[in-house]
Amino acid sequence: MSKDHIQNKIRTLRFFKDEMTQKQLADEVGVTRQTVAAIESGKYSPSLELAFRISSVFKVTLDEVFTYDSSKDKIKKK
Amino acid sequence: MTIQVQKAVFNFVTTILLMGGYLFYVFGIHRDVNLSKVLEIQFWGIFILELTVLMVLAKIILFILFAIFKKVKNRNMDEEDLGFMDERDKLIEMKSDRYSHWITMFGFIASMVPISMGYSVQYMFITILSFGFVSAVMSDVWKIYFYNKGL
Repeated sequence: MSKDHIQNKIRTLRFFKDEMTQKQLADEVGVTRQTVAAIESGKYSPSLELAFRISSVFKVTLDEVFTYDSSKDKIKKK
Repeated sequence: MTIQVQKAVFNFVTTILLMGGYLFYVFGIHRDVNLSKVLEIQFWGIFILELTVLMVLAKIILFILFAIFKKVKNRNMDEEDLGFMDERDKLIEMKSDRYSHWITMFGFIASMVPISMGYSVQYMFITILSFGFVSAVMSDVWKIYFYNKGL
């Protein structure tokens, strides 16, 4: 599944934003704390909209928060 | 345990208790339910309608009580809204509902087997009800699974 390929730096970014809590981030992007925890631990890949909202909270670009490891791809390219 | 998992566990337990309670009410307390009555389609029509109304009303009342209990218990805590659903919650609900609908559909097809084999109509209703019950329970089981293991 693609969730295995997506890594994120949310924990690090939270640390550098005055040790922002998961709850604070969740409130800012309009999801539950459990969803933020699931994203951080790689159990859930957020929608593009939520990913953009998270990156805008930290005032960074999307690829500074999320990275995609295409080497794990199993999709056959046409 | 998160609030979403608590809701799923609560739903799981109440579904089993309500179904068990209703079966006991019909076949345990009303012992006048004999074989000839079970063979009637009217009996099964009433059975399903009563069960549906009971389930809907009881679930509404129990969920209100659950919400009140949570509110009182976490009075001083920053508790999350019980009705709030974000994109992950919706995705989990859709996925678990899809799997449970497969069971329901399979149950409906399976219920045609005893009819096609010439068995009485009671077997068709028992099959539909059994699969309906399993699908309702499995919907919550999958929710608990997805919340713990991830999507």
